[in-house]
Amino acid sequence: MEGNNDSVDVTGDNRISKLPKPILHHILSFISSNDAARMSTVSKVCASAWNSLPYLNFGYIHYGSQHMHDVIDQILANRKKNNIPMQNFSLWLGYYHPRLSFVDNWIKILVACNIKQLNLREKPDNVYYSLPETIFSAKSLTVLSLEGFKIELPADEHLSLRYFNGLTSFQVGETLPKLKKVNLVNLANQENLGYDHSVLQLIDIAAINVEDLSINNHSHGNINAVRVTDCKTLKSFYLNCVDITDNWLEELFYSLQNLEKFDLT
Amino acid sequence: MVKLKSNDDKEFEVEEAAVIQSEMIKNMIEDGCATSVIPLPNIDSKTLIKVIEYLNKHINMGKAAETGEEDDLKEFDEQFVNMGWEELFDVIMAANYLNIHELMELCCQSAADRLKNKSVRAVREMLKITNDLTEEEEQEIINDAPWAFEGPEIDDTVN
Repeated sequence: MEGNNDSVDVTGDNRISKLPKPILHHILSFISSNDAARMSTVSKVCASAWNSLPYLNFGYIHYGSQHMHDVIDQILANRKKNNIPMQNFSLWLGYYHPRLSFVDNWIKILVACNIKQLNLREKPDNVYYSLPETIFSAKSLTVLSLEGFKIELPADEHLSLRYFNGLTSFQVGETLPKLKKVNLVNLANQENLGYDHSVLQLIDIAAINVEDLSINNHSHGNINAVRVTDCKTLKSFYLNCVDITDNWLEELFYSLQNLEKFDLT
Repeated sequence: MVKLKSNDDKEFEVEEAAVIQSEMIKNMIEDGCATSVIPLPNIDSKTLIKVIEYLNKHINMGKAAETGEEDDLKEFDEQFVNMGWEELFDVIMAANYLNIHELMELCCQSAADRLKNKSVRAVREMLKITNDLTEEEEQEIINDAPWAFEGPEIDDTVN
């Protein structure tokens, strides 16, 4: 920066190198892995910060980036080797791929590294891929956000499902006592797909500790059956494009005694 | 009012409602350890003034949404992070020590925004970092991660 030359430390010492590593990691968590990896050639401190960075955000991966698979393979293998506890992994696969078995391997490594937040998206016209069962052993997972991926059963505290084609019913039962936040967006089918789809018919949530529930089916037609029972701790409830009746509302308010905020559009 | 003392022995009075945005001080007050002056041996007065300015502005932040002050706060935040690197790192260290989550996020985001898309040369110059990697080490990293050095968006300016 101009005019600051007189403050240059002649020993070559600089502030960023003196930041504790967790703080440097926190700053790097806001930039893409692309930027973070490039920064690793800035200095030894930066190289070491990158090699142990627990936040990986690869963003959108273009068609023809086959070599990115190898890159991610290598980066994750490196994290695992060094026992880096992973905080966040985000990836958007922007192309068609017949088999996503390489994702299985990444999830396996991430689960072994105690991944906390996993955000995966793929193109809506891709072949829907089911996440491997390993995902259920992700004991540290607090946020699972998926778009275009299938999953048989949800994970821990925060469940976010968007554009889940082919889902006919979504049910959360008492088997998930840790679930606190549920966010459902456009679960019904996309009309622009040329073959028959089942339509989401039922959402049934019975989660004893859920506090925040949001269902938004904007642009995909109304969902006609939403059942919310036993959600005694529910505080905030948002509904968009859901068919409801007066009776339904009455019963709902009767059962949700701790409700503080209710939005209906 | 709560009294805070910087490491250069200057005292500042801050409203309790403002200062409890710091989890650390909030805990001290709850535990009854904040009866007199709270010494902050890691924070100088210049940085503490910035932090207090932020705390005072963000008092009752939860109510901002109701009173339509959100835009005002956003503008304040944008102005607030308009500072040099040294000062920004000082505030980040203070926010980390005092455990003020929102301030930490704001400043780290700002630091990250400044690094986004920057070339290696630009980062070194902006942060006054002397390259202590040998040419071989540097080349090895580049060879390992050529994907990070590709792309038209890489920005070599230091602003």
